[in-house]
Amino acid sequence: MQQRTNDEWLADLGAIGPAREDAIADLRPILLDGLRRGLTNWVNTSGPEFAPMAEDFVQEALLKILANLETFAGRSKFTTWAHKITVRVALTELRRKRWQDRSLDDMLSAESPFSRSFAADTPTPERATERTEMMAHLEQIITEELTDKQREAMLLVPIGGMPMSEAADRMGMKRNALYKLLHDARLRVKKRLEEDGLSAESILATFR
Amino acid sequence: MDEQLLPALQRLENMLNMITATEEDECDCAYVDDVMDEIAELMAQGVDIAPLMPAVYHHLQLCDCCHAEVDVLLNILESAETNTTP
Ligand SMILES: [Zn+2]
Repeated sequence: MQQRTNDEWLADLGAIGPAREDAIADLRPILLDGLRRGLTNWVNTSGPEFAPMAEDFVQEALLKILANLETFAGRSKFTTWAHKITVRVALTELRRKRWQDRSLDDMLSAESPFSRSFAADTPTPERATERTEMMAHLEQIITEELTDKQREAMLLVPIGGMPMSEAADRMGMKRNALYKLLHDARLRVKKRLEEDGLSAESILATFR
Repeated sequence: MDEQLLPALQRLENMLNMITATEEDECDCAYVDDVMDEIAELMAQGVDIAPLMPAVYHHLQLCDCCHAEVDVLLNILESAETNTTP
């Protein structure tokens, strides 16, 4: 395999003909090997199902790499940049697989902590009332401060634990747009909690 | 499927922690994506990015996706140092 500088990678992958084919043939095993070493906490990288899955990820990543060569800013090694794109493809797909059995409607109804009754595990009736009132107050803040879309995002991501890339996909948005939507939502709720004299600590203390 | 259903209180706590950590100005996923290869190389060299790029560090505390991607990238770079492949 030919060792290349960043400029040589860009020149070869941007060329027409055999130079480009050779560069792709050299980059592919680098990316496959990267996934094998990088994804150990996500999948069994020594299992038989790993190789075909990784081939698919790398194939999709190569198309993105070739289509976006001009966006490489040269602040890292070219191979690190190419690994970054491959990792994004792989994790987006792995998250999708992990969450494929969860329907959006189920998430939106089941994940809400506001519908839960705390009466059963509460030592005194006064404490139960306090908890119920705190939950109602929080639900009121969320209803009053947030748009439907912001509320849906809050239920899916911070409350439901759904990864942003997956929630964005389900909501028909780009991940970056979802981050911004959630940021606005978090900021609104934070300000309202401050106005109402509540802190995360004081709210959680009601339930401990 | 059920192990993904965190207890109600833990979900509430997750939300409150994210709200508490919220800042007026935060960088977004697109910005972090642009610098991710660069910061992963710095981290692989042992550089603490918290004082160097506080906004990126803050984003990584709040964004599970970018955080996971940096972790995997770092894993690739760090394991390459004991390996012959780049
Ligand atoms: Zn992000």
